[in-house]
Amino acid sequence: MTFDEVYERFRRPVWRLARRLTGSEEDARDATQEIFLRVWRGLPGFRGEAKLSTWVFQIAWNYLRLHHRRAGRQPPLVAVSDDEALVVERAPDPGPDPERHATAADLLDRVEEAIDRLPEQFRVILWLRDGEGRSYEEVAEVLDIPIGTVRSRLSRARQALKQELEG
Amino acid sequence: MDEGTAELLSRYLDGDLDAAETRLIEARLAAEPDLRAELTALRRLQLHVRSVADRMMPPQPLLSFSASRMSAPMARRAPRQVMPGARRANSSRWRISQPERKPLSWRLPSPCVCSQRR
Repeated sequence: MTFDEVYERFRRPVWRLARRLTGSEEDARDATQEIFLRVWRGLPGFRGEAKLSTWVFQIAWNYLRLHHRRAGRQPPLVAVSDDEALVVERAPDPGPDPERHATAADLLDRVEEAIDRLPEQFRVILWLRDGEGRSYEEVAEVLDIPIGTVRSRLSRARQALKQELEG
Repeated sequence: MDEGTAELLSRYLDGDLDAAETRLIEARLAAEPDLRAELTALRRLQLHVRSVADRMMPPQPLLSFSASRMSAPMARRAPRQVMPGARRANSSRWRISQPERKPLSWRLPSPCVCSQRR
């Protein structure tokens, strides 16, 4: 598999994870570039012991974890950037009920802000499982934690998100 | 709700329970409306997180280098520790290039050819 095939397949998930964990569009872009540079360097040595997605997410998480801690950034209180607002504006025609569409977009904005307020260990596990649809086994491999920890931490992360939205 | 029940529900949502655990939680769901409401809320929340991911679009261009340019040398050799296309400040008069592209001066052991930079 060539680098551009890997890049095409994973650019969105890697950027999304970076965006969730760095808290800003600019940092996410820088982080994505650094992550893909590491993917490019490591690709010749990738022998398929792990799934390609697991390997790419491991690189992403290892970079983001260090980057995030080094920078010491806090999650922003308001996480919706202008670009994301633009995406909502460019979303498909809502049909006969634009008010309902606006409400749905508002709801997703609130969910996004609530995710960004979660502690990092909850945010990353919730995002990998519910945002990216990764299996428990893959999440355990990416984060290098036992699968039992994935189960309990994910449950607590979901409860924390629910409370954030209710609070 | 206690943590054990919350975890069971969370795993049930993901289809992670074994047959005995599934029977147990389904019996409780049938008997406990609050638990059913909790499951519905968790399911809705999971869909919302997925929808947040679906609407996130990365900026373009995302990389400051070209992915396709980086792919070209990947198939043939391990990457060097410098970015492709970057010019080295004090580059040597000599360079290694693909044999079919460059005029032959001295033939080195295959597959490289060494030619003098003009």
